[in-house]
Amino acid sequence: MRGDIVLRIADLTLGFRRGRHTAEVLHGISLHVRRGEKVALVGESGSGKSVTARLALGRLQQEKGTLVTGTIEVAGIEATRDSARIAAARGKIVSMIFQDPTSALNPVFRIGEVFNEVLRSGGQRLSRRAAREKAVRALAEVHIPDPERCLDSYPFQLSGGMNQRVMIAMALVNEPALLLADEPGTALDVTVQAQTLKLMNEMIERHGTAVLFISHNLSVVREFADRVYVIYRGNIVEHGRTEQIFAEPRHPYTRALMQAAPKLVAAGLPDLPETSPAFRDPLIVHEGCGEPGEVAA
Amino acid sequence: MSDILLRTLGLGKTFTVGRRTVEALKDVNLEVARGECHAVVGESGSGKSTLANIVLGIHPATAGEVVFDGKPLHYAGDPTLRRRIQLVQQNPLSALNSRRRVGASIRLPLDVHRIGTRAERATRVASLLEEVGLAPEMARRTPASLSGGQRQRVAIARALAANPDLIVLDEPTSALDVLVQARVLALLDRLRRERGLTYIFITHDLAVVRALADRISVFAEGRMVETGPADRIFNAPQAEFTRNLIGAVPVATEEEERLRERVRSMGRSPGFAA
Amino acid sequence: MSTRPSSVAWIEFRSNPISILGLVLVVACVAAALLADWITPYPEHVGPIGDFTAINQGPSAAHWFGTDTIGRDVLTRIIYGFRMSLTMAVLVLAISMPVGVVLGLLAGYLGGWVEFVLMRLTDIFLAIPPLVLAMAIMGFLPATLTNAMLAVTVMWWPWYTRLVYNLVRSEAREGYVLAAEVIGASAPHVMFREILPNCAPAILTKLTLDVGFVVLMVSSLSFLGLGVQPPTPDLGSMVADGAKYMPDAWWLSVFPALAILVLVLGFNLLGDGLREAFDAEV
Repeated sequence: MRGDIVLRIADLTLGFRRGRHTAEVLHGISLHVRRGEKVALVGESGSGKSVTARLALGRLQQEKGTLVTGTIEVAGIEATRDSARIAAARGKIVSMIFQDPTSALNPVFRIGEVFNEVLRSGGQRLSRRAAREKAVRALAEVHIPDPERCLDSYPFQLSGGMNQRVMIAMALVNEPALLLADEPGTALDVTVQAQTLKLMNEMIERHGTAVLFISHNLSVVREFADRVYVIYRGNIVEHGRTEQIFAEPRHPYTRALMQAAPKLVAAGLPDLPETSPAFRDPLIVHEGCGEPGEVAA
Repeated sequence: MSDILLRTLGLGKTFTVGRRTVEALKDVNLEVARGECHAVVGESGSGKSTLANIVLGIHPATAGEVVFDGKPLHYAGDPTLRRRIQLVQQNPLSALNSRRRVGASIRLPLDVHRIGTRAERATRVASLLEEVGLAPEMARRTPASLSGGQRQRVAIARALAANPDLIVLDEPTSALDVLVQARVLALLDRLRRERGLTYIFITHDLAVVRALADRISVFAEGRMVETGPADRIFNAPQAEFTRNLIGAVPVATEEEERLRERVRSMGRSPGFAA
Repeated sequence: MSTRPSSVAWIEFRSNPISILGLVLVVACVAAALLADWITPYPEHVGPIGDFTAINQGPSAAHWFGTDTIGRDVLTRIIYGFRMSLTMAVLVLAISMPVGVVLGLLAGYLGGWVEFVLMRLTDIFLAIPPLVLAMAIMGFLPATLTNAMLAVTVMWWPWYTRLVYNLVRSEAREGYVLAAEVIGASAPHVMFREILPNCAPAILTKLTLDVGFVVLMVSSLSFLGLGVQPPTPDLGSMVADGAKYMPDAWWLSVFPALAILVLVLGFNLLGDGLREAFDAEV
């Protein structure tokens, strides 16, 4: 579905300055997400996938010792160095859901209070009653059985799965253009995670949100994403549509990831290196994909 | 009977939290054969961690008993048990004392059980490091300077130091990256075969134990819902819970998709009871 | 058990100007205390006899900080005062710290009635304002220096107990403690060789900050006449004695007070620097 570009990242580098050294974490990555698309960013720890999300959220740029070059644009707002505009837009234009829902919610507030805060920061000026109604509707949309009671509860009183739904509801209640999902459901049981992904699919289709989905789990990505970027040590190494990547992974790193993932069928234990110089091979882009402004492969 | 290393008979554990009582384990009859890798699979609240804690002597059971190598498992009465049963934890960073060098951590079981002389212990630590795929020089390093995979290898070396019979592995690779996890799983498999160890491998991730486990026990809400050889559990799961579990796992290959569909459809056919 | 400070903490420490300043001040005070016999201009003025021809003189070339009412050189007495303060701090902390730490370890790790008894005892001590408690203890004892130090020692250990107790309770949940227990390590091993090294940074930081506080405490007691007795030079007593002559003979109080300031400030900055350095290690 070709829509407007909601997230555009071009030649982004990120370095952290500690004393005399600068540790470069991103070495010039480019990716984009269009309206209604579900794009996955897949990598292991240290790949730079999480900091990319935080930059898109406007969270790292202003910190001491961070050096950013290149371009990040969220819904047309340029966010590379000045994150103030993005920070103001957080919740309205871009929102995020996290790995562990229960710990991402402030334990001293009831769900209803957090929801009010979310609605308020979304710029919506609603009366108490209207805000509550809106929250109830949002919770019903994510199939929470008793929304009123949920609003009056604390996060620790609800299950992990419920908190995940609450978080999804909060992230989408202000109809953001872009949703960042950082390994959602990783902390949850696999049955609950499966339900959560199904719910996310449903919600996103209904709202038309663009999603950047960050994960280390290829299987989850396959079930969820339209397009995949594979990231290794601060470089994008492969990019293609989901069908292309899984049918024919071309980059040595992507192939290693696929081989290493544990399988439900008897396949023996793969004999793989933890690292290999081939992982640093240059970017491979599949047919029909490519960044806006570049010539497609 | 001697080929069953560990057996639980009607094992139960009830916790009292304030006024509430929680039955973490109910009537569990588990059998772990000598030399096998026995996977204990379940989600949160299944009781798998409680089972591990009882086997390791961290909590006492409130019902039933555990029999280890033919004798009732009683840590206070038998000091050799602490040498024969070891643990590898999920979080390698927290499992190693950050104020101890790696070699000193690996040497701890030898020190505690007074195995060998000082010189012999140092040699043993070096050979253990090699056995888990690390350079002997790493004995001088601190855990903070190692990667997650390296730390976990150190924890494994420490568990091997006193030549145990049984190792309880509590989600040993859940905190590791995909490629590192594959290497550590391969290492664990090799060590077990070479040393004739017995594993109780606890996990919430079914796929992780497919290649490693000889037999699998599936737990839900404190009960053991199913147990059997790994092949049977995956290809013909009897319990509805197991089928739901397999059906919910995200998969990346066609072959796995077919298996998953087959398992899902088993639940729908009249031949299989819940 | 190796507890060498890690290089991360040291690098962080030496790149922080505040920490370096603290270190410099502390080293200066300690050096002054150790070398008192050699660097003071009038070492004979330590006792009750001064220079009767130079009573109550303001700062001059001969006496940089002036002289007191019986002609003793104030600078000399201040430097000997450093020696007195630091010696007292070291003695008090050398006893109260180990006692407090061990009790905190026992209470935090063993739990049960040990925890109950020790922590309630600690709570009682901590509930009373420090100076009041010290004064109360001194109320029972003759006012000598030894007794003043005893009083301060007795009221100081609970702070370490409380600190270590809290640390032990959170460390005891960590994986490495479980690992040691499963391996079969004894309780004393787990407490002293596994958990205690992880408490060391916090204890060391508190120790450094405490030097300043002990000095203030003893100085306060001396100021009230409950501690050091004349003619022994003590910074607090000098401030007290000189207060009567303010503002005319201002040098009698001001310089000793500044000396206390420098000493306490130096240790506080050092302690803060240590804390930040250890935090960087995490």
